Amino acid sequence: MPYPYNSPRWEFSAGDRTTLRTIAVQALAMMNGNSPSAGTKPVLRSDYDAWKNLAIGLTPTFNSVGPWPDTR
Amino acid sequence: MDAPESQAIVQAFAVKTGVNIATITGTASTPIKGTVYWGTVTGVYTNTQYAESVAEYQPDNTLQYRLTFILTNVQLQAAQAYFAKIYITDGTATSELTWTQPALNASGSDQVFFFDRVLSSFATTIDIATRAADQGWLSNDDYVAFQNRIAATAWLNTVKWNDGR
Repeated sequence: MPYPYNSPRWEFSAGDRTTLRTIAVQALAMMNGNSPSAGTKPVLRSDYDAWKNLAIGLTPTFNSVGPWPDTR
Repeated sequence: MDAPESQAIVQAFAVKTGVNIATITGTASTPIKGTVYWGTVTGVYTNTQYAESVAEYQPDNTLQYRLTFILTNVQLQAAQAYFAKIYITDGTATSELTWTQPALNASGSDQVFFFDRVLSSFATTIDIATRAADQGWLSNDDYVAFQNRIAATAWLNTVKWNDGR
């Protein structure tokens, strides 16, 4: 079901979209117990903290205007 | 609590900080018993501990009585100032002692282990992050869930400190 055309949403810049992919890739590594920087076990605290900071660093724009085209 | 200041021992007590503990110790020429009151705000003491002195021979062969308090669980993520006052059972008290407990000193080489039940949070995070990267936007509910699942990983893990803690 398409997201309602007149509902507010958070919009991500090109830079944020790149960061979001990185978040997903690193989360997958840590989900398997591997540290993103080395790809080997265990997860280092520095990698985990850096991963959390990626999410903190996102700067989406809240857009309550709409409507938007259904891009899916 | 008002108590006359114990001039004889007021200079004798010292605080030594360690890994998650602080030791307050001092000597007197006679056996003493006392209670330390301590907290993180000057004059506001939210914790107490009672102790009795033990005899201790000094290098010069004189006998002193050492009163020691070992305060535990005093180390936090950030450095923390503590304040304490020792009340002796003879009705006297020390002036306020204060010290700064160093921070936990997290190291990048500490190891993080996630509990099994956090795996679904990682999966949800991956799902939402991938969708956001693909389409460029998220509904408010999804964005809130994304942040919450990341936060969940922070309290569903255990850390093996590289200094053996």
